[in-house]
Amino acid sequence: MLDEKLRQVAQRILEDAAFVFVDGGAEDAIELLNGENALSATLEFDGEFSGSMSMSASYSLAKTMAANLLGADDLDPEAESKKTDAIGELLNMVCGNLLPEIAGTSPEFKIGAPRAVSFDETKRQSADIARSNGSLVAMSVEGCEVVMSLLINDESGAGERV
Amino acid sequence: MSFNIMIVDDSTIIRTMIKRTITLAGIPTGIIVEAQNGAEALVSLGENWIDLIFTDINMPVMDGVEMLERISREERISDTPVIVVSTEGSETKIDRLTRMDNVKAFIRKPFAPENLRDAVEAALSERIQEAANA
Repeated sequence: MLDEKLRQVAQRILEDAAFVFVDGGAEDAIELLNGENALSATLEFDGEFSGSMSMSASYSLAKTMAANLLGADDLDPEAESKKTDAIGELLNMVCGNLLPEIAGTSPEFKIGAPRAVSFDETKRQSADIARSNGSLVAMSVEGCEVVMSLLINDESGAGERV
Repeated sequence: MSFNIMIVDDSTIIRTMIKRTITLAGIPTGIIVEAQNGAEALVSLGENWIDLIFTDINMPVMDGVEMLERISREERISDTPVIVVSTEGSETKIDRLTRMDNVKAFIRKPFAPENLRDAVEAALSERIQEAANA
């Protein structure tokens, strides 16, 4: 259920904000993405429950998303320089739109600033998710891989809501 | 007549998106001041006359809520119109924000450019009227 909510919100944000479209699932995305061709960002949130989220995407898709966010061409130098920021901002949008889907619209959350991290760090977070309450979603977007993860830290019952 | 705009957001891409949207909408702008957080914005507000502020809520150093509270306590800038552009999803917090006198609109990210343009035109209508009456 948590996977489905994350997938739905991520798909909506990618389409509405970055004008890129999900082709389907990509179970092998984590293997296909690596430190050479992936950009990753993570952020933490705190409120009724706390946790972290991360997003990784291939370099070429990150550049396309940055260009689309800016309403610019892929060749625009700003798209190149802002591709990491684009991943962080899309992650921020997904997090901000996902938390009310899980917790409802009354609780207040503090969402931390996204920061760029290595893909290895997001892989470690993926391993944590396998051992705890969280979600990991891999998608094929415009023929490129995107991996999103949500890790819920505490035992406030967030997992029971979904 | 042109308007001085301030954009407060820790994301450079969002600041650029807002700047481009304002320009493409044909809104006459003077200076456009950018700040990465509320603290930077307050310093710039002390140095520049600003007609409209766009601000995020969740930012490091000083968030948008604290910045807006401080603005409301400073007579010189307390009536500067503000448009909040944020991923904030808590209706409780959104309600509290939109009750503040100078907050003219709340726009949730991701936003459509036309929503931003409409909010700017509505927020600046009072300033345009004031200028016409002056």
